[in-house]
Amino acid sequence: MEYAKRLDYFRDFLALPERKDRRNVNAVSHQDIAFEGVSFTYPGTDRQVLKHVTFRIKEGERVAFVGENGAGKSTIIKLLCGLYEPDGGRVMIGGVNVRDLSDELRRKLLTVVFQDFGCYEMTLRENAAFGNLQYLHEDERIMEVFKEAGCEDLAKEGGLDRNLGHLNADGVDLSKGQWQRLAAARAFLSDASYVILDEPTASLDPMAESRMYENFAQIFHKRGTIMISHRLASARMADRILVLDGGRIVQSGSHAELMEQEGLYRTMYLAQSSWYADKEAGDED
Amino acid sequence: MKTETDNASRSIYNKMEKPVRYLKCCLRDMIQFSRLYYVVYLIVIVVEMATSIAIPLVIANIFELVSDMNAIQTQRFWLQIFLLSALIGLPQLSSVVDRWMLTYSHARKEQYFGWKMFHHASHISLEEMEKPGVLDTFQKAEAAYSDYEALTEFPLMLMDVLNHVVTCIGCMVVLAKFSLFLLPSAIFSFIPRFVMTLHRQGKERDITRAQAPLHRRIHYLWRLFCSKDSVKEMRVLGFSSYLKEKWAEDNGQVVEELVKVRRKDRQLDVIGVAVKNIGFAVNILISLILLLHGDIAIGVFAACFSAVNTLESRQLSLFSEIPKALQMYYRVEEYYDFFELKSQPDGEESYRPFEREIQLKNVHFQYPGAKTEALKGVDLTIRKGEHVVIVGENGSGKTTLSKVISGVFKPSSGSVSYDEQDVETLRHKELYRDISIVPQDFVHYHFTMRENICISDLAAISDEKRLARVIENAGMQELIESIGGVDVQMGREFSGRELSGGEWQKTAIARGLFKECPLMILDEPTSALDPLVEYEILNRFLELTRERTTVIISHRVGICRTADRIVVMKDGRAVETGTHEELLAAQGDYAKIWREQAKWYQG
Repeated sequence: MEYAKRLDYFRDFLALPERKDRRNVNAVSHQDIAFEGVSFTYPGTDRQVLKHVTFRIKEGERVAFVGENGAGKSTIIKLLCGLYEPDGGRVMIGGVNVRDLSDELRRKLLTVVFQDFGCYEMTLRENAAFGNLQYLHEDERIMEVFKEAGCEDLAKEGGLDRNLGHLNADGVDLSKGQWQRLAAARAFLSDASYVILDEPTASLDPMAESRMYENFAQIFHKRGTIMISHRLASARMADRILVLDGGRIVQSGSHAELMEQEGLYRTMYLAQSSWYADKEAGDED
Repeated sequence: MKTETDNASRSIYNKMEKPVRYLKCCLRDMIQFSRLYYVVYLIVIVVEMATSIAIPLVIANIFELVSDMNAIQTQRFWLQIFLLSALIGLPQLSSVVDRWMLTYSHARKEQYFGWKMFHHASHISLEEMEKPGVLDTFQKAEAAYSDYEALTEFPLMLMDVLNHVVTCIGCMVVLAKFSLFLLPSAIFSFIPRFVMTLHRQGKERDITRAQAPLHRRIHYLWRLFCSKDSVKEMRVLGFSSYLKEKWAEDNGQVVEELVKVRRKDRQLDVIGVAVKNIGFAVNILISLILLLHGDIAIGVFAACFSAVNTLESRQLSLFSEIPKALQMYYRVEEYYDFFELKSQPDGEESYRPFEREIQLKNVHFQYPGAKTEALKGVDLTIRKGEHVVIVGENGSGKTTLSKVISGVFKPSSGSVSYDEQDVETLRHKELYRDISIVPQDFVHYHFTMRENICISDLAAISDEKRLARVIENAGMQELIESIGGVDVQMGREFSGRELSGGEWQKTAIARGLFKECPLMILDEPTSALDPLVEYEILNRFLELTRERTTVIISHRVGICRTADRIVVMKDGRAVETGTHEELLAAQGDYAKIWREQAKWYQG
């Protein structure tokens, strides 16, 4: 009886539904991203996170999403990666529904650093190469992206094959900021057309954060970048800023344009910059 | 203290020290778990041993009586027959007792062995938890505890083994009593098998030990496939097949090594069984010869037959139970290994709330297994009521410093004192009443929102006023409204509401605020907050804590202007301290960091 029950557990596991999307499109004619009236509610919840969101990102464009906590920024990224099916509307890349793209093609188009990026208790090399496994044994290429992400010193002690985390007796744990740099390196290793970054600098120290902003132009030249950040300094680097509020896009434009309008972006930017403004002058610009 | 590897040169005493100690633990727990049951079982076992040895003697008696037809009529004969039937029937007792125990131990095991683990887990020192392989110890202990038989039945298993050993010896004594010629083959027939069984178990144990890191990795890889976050990432980046291959590779290696050992075992096993069977055949033959020679009576021949039979069946049981007993012992060992993890050392002295300052003197700290120190001699004084902000590069030791200040980590050298009371000498429970922490890697409790906030001071869980105030101060009113109140279940684990990264962070801040105490330590409290919320919460926080001592670690150097003192950490040292103005004027590291961040927000 006991064994029969266990067998049932195994069957239950195997009976978990697999994803049903087609994933068979192997080529796209262009690489524009389009959200067309996209609405989304997380399974098992009743709050609509995105409400009829529509926008377009042109090939190679650098876009920043800005908005309050819970406005739906991270959800947009998950939908763009094809992780969930929207309740309504379509998420397209190059005119094809992302859920229909083959895994291989999607990976050529997108790479992503999630907000809760993985910290893999494996070797330093593997941690980096998960961004693009074809470079697993190309030390030079890996060291190059480490330099870009500011984590080349991680390889100083023990080289690329050192173990990270507590899994191995000789493993060393990293600080949160060091893990974040490594996660960024993972994205830089990819050759994808778009690099998507969800809060890539949340745990970075000011020097590293600043260096990352300055490197953006250089690292992502000719590549599209989609970034979510509460550090509005990063938004200034974007060609276009999309402001989300309550699951809708409420503003769109460059930093200069948005600063000229009364609106959420300007309010946010002033709030953040007030920490740095000269004491006498409450405002700037 | 902890035996990690089998060192060949280590003396037997050292090797036996741990098993003996664990056996004592096990017996102590056994008595506390259920004295009555084990006593009853022990009695049953003794009865079983006695009957098994007595049967051949009774048989010999009966046959002796049968040879004289007149004796059949006597009461003595019938008494013997009755005794024999009773002896054959009695051993079934133990299985009845077993069933009774099964239901009983199922119900009580969680309360006893599970609670013991929980209790110890809550006291393990954090330094200990930083050690590699500690997860292993946790998992093994959990597995040992889930396998309820191991902990509750190991003592029984030992009694069973003892039962078989004594019975075997008893049977041999009986055989020897009949004729000394029967003794040698009775002894030698089982020695090869006995040695082999022990040897094989030792080998298998060595292999599982050597494979521990592999098993650890196999588990880890599987866990990656169980977590939504890692699955999301591996799917988008496309490295799941790499992990699957690793998993298969590791598993393949484990199985291959085991198969190699087991194949050899089977071959040795065949030899052992052959030797045993020959031994028994020889014994039957010898008794037959003795009978034909007239050295023993027909009754004794029958008794020999019975004794040899018992001996064989008991040996069979013994060989099947020794490996089981050893397996169980390993489980027991894994369970008690967990209790070898050091508890957080607690001080003896009672804590007097600090009035003047917290002082760090030449504090060093090194993580277990790390090659370099995380803190390399930090001197720092935090006066009561001061607002201190710690800034510095990733990996410069800020978080470690905050954990040392709060007494969570014990410095490797140097001291931390609250008004000259050394933290190490203080009762932590009392000290922690004074400290509230919002750590960088705060926990998302899949409880209700109320529990998530009030867990920092559970005594006040029904203090609605305080809860409402904290919710307001953490800017959570809207959030609470939208989820439908504070008693709503959080987290998808139990089909509750999932929060965004920033919303969880607000919850963590509320948790820190709910515990109203004189010292607050916040590690990157606003890393996931949007600019408006960050502005609001931080300003309100500074207002609220004006009277309190706060230590904030932040990469948002903007907050430094409000600080009474800024500490700049660099490579494990506090390289600069002072106010914003002082440090800007000093043109050192702080000035550089400030300009670097501020430039993005100016002009």
